[in-house]
Amino acid sequence: MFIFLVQTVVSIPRQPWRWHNLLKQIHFMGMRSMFVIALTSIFAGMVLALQGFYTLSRFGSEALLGPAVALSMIRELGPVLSGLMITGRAGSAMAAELGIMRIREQIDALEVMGVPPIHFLAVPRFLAGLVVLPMLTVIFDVIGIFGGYLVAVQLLGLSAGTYLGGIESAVSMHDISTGLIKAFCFGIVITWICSFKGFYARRGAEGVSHATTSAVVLSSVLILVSDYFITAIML
Amino acid sequence: MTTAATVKKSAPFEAKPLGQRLLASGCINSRQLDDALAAQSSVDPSEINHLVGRTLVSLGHLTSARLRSCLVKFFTDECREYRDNPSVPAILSMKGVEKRLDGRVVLDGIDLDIPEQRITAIIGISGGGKSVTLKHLVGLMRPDQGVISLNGKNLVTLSPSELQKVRRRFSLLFQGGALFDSLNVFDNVAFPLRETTSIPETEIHKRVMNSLEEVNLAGMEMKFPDELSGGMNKRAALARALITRPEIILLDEPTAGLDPIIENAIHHLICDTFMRTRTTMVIISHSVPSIFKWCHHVIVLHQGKVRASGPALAIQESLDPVIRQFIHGDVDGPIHVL
Repeated sequence: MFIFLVQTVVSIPRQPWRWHNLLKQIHFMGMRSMFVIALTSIFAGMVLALQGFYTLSRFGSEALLGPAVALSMIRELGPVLSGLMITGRAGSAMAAELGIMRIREQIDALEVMGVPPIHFLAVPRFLAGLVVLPMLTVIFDVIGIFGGYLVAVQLLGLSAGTYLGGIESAVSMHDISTGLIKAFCFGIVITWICSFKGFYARRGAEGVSHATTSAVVLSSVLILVSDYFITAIML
Repeated sequence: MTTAATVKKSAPFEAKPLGQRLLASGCINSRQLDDALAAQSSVDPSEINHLVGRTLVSLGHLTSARLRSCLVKFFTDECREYRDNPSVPAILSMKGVEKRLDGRVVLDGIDLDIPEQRITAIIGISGGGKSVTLKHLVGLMRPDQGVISLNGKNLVTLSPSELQKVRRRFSLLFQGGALFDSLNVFDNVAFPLRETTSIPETEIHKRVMNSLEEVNLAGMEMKFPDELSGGMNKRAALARALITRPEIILLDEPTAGLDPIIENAIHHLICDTFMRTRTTMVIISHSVPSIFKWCHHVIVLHQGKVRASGPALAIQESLDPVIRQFIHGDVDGPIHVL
């Protein structure tokens, strides 16, 4: 698996650069995930605000709701939930597509035609993950904070100024960069694991199914594990 | 008949241009041939032989059916000549190749030679190692032992980048076609030209449309593989395999799962392509005994070894009980299946 990652990274600068393939992957992973990211983030922000309000109100600290939602979103929930959503949606599709190409000998066909399969298939997906995950995380954060705003201000009666002003003073560049670094790392994990599992799928439909399942499970677990270690390093 | 093809270095095979052969056989007259060559005056000289048959048909000097029967006759005559004089240079060789897969010996010391500019069929019972042999020839698999050489160059010791360059001399028609599902027929056929050459898009368009016409898929270029029948998929895959004009084409069971009419059509197509381009071809086939009609040379694999190798017409008359059982499809014999 690590050799696959190394081969993919080493293949990145090699020509020809297939911009069309990269854009296609960015569109698939990014644009077509917008709806699920928006839906997940708004409800994540809303439930965070709801839970946070009742917890903070026990200590008379409702005014900290805005920073609590924002920091949780930006530092943790944004990158992690984006990563998990993209794993489930795009990662599984990636593993399945490459797995089917493997069992139908399409990857062998590429090799025989003299087109390096890793350069043609894995590199665009890998680069798309690096570009898309941070962008989707930012979108997740913004919509999530907005979801929190809806609950905090419209539903629970907190003042907008308190909510938003608290965010402005509490959130720093370090928080934002932590979230983006996590997103970047999760992008590597998802595309690496899911491409690898699909690339080396065996034994027909059952093999593809197994590859897809194990790609999603392993990517999800690695996201959570690496989240801990990145958090520990960045704090 | 020999247990290994008798090959020796000799002058490369030179076939008469197709137009000349049609003229010599009386299928056309000299005026008709002159017409066809004049109509091709703007065509690249390397393409003239390739297109002369189609030009004669389009000018009305020959019907498609007549052209087909002429090509089959020329091919049959060549096979007889090859039976009588099988000394041709080998372009691809395997020496002492062994391969184990999942603990089972699949190739057990294979020695074979693929003659240049001939159609070679590799036959044998299911699970006998034919597809594995084919994959070794193109470098998709590496042997546990042995040497695989192309024009004397050992493919096994090549680096991945060197092997990638060598592979561009090959083309492989996979058993299932292996068309890319996300591309339509046109893009599938154009793919190797776009990815491995710097031919401009207008020229690619022309070549792809010609190629699709040759395999009788004109009008299907916008369809996707899942919208085509099995026979159409195979023909599209054949068009893709031929478009780069490779030196060697390998075909893995090109007629598997097809009805007898389409099977015969594919054989005609392969013969037609060979007669026009003189490309070395290697065919894996279970279509015995019909395959004997469509190849010069036959290699019989049995239990991971080469049982026999020689001109098709000679192998067909073999007295070897294993070969006879396989050719006639007898249930009883030295090959135990029930």
